[in-house]
Amino acid sequence: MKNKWRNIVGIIAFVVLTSVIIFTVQGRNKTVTLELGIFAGSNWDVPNPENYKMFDEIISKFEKAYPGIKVTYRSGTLKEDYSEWLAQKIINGKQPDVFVVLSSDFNTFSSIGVMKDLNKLIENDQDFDREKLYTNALKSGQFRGHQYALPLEVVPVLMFANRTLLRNEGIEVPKGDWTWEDFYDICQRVTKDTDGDGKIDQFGTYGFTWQHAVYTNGQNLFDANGTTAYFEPSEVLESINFIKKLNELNQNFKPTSDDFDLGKVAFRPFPFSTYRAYKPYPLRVKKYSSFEWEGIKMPKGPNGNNAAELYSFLIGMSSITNNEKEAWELIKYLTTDESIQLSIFGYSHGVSALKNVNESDEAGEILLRDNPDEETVINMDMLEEVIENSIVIPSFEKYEEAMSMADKELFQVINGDKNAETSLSIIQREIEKFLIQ
Amino acid sequence: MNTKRNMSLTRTALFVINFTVIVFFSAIIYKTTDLICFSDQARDFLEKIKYVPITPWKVPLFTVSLLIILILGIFIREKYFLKKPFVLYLFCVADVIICIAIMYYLNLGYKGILFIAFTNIIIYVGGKKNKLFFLLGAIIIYMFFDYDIFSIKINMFSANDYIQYYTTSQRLYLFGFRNILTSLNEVVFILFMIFTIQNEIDENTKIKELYSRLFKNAEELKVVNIQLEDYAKKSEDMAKTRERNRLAREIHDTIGHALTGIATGLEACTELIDNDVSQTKIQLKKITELARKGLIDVRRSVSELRPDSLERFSLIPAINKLAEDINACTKTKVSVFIEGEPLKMGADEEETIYRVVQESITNSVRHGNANEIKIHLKFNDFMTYLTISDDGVGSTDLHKGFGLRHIKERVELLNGKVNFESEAGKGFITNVELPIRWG
Repeated sequence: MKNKWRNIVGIIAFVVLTSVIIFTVQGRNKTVTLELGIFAGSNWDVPNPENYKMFDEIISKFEKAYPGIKVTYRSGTLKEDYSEWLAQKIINGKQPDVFVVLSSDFNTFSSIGVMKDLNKLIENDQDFDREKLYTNALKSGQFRGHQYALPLEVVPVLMFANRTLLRNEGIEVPKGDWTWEDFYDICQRVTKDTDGDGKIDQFGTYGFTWQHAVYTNGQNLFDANGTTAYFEPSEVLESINFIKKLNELNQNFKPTSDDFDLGKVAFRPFPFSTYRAYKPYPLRVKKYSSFEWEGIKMPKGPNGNNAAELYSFLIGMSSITNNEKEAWELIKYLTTDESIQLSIFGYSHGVSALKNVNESDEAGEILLRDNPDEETVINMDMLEEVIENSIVIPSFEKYEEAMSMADKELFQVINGDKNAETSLSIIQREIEKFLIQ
Repeated sequence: MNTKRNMSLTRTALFVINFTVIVFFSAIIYKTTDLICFSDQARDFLEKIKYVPITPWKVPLFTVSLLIILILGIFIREKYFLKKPFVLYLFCVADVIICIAIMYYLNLGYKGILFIAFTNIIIYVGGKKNKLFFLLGAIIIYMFFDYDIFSIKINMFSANDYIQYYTTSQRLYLFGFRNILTSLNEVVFILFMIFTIQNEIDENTKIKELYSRLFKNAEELKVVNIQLEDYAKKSEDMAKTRERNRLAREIHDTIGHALTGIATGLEACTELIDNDVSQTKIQLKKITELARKGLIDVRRSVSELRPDSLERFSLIPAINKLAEDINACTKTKVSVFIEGEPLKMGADEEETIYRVVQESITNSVRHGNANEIKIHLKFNDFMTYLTISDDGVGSTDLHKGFGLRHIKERVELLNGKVNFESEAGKGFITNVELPIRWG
């Protein structure tokens, strides 16, 4: 009996020991394969045929820099399918080690624990310097104070001015820090019936929403945790009233995106990526070819800056990855290596989240290459300023729903007779109630 | 015996049912995940469940392995630890933890697995207080680990919610099957409880039965005892009668015979004395002879009839007599010293002491050439100490000849101790310690 037990214990000890040895030896020699989740095309909904080329280039550079790590990705997933594709991977427990996150997924994924909290990795990594990135860019990858993702690139919102229209009206393209009053003044001057059919057919602005007004007035609508709403401050009321005033200029006629495309609208807010995609040849010929246009800062409200919201293209790590260290190296490499960021800047249409990259001569050259027009006001200094002044919309689970609640109510205020102040306090109450549910 | 078998049957049934439930729930989680992916609803699903579900293939793997560990745990404690209460407590705690783990993997959609932990506590935890304590803990866990309670604080998605992804008719079947299984589980657990109670009742009845039988036996014993006493008295009376008869016969045979002879002889002498004096003298001598013989007979009879205490030879005088005899016949001087009150000793005890003294004196005289022998007798409450020492040649090697061994055997027969001390030229000492029985 005693011998039998001794044998069993011996066998178990032997098996454990050999397997430990085998695994450590294997672990030392084995190359780690990381799966990267990306989709085809641009995050910014502009044509980008070179997306895979960009990633292939980056991956081969990374593999050269980290010989023990191999990176694979599945090609062919479209952006519109990416969310579902990733979700299927997640519920089967097969999500990629590192994956890019759509902004519409970031709230859900970080709240349900799909993504790894990067705070500890950042703290323990001596090479990672938060200061190198724009605070706003970092903020966009945060959920309830935890960094769940890092920005691959960011895109601020700019105002697109129809230079042809303004020239015809004898108005100079606003430059520098222009205000709502300047904005309203120009809109008032350009809004008219040009062909004399009694219908207004030239407009001041299209697509300048109440949110744009609130953000350019320096106000955020929610706190970072998504527990408090800010609909009652006077800045919000100011913004709503401003939008109402702008709308009234058009009387009962509403401009459409076609009107803008046909050159009949003076101003339209656009993400910077659109500027980068459509400004250079050949796309500039395809769209907006009937007029000259220019990107300028957003007009600022009495309490705000010349910047609206900031969009970010985020990349994060799976919470169940077996190769945390390697995955972190990859994320770090993609987001903070200056040469990589520069090549992303070259291929894609956003702006790097790294200060150094945007301040470099190379970045300036790339921007100039995109834009042969010498009159441009967009330069790297201006972009940096806009990024740093932008409003980062907080991430929380109920954001979309809360926003659509507010949107519904404010639509009636802007387009109807509802009292703005009362509506805002109703919205405030209802959304607060919804948030604590 | 029957309820015992039923209990183990219900326990097996509990395992079988829980295994089925686990497989059923795992299958639903697995299958529904497939269904969700197939119909491209994964993103909406994530939005709904608000947490990352456990990887589908891990659910059956982990839950079934945990169940197997649970079963193995029972076999191990049955085989090795049945008599170690502390280990059994640990096992019961482990049971509860394993059950919680299984519940966790099933997203808290099912808590019937805890019944297995309950049955183990009922069976393996001894002592009413401990059992109550353990059961209370398990019940609190049972109440607390409820999906409806947990999902308030923590985002959870129970297997039941997966069922929502099927068509209405499929859902009915699935819910139906789930309900059958869970109620079956409850019913079996209730059955187990019933059998446990039945088992306890059976044991109680058995104990009562045994107790009443014992009581009856004691009563019977009392009666028998009285009868026995009665019988003893009767038999004593019979012995008395028998003795009287013997006495009568004895008197008749001895004294009667002698007195008859004497009377007849004396009558003859009366006739003869006038005619022949010398013949009469002869006759009278014969009669005297006869009377003497009669007297001897009477003495013998009397000595046979004498009660025990009178007939027994007294130890101290006997030893004194022994000493006097030796003093008279040999040049060796024997002296006797008595200390303490001689006790009332048993015949065997007195005999032993007498024999030891006798044998020792014989040895001293025969082998030791002793000039002087001292006999010390000391009586204690429960002990008699006897020391016989001489000034003879002694002996270096005590060859226990027949005599010494004989002494030893006698003394040890009465739980006494004996030792012999001797050196060449320094005499021989025999020490005896003899415990005395009382009464």
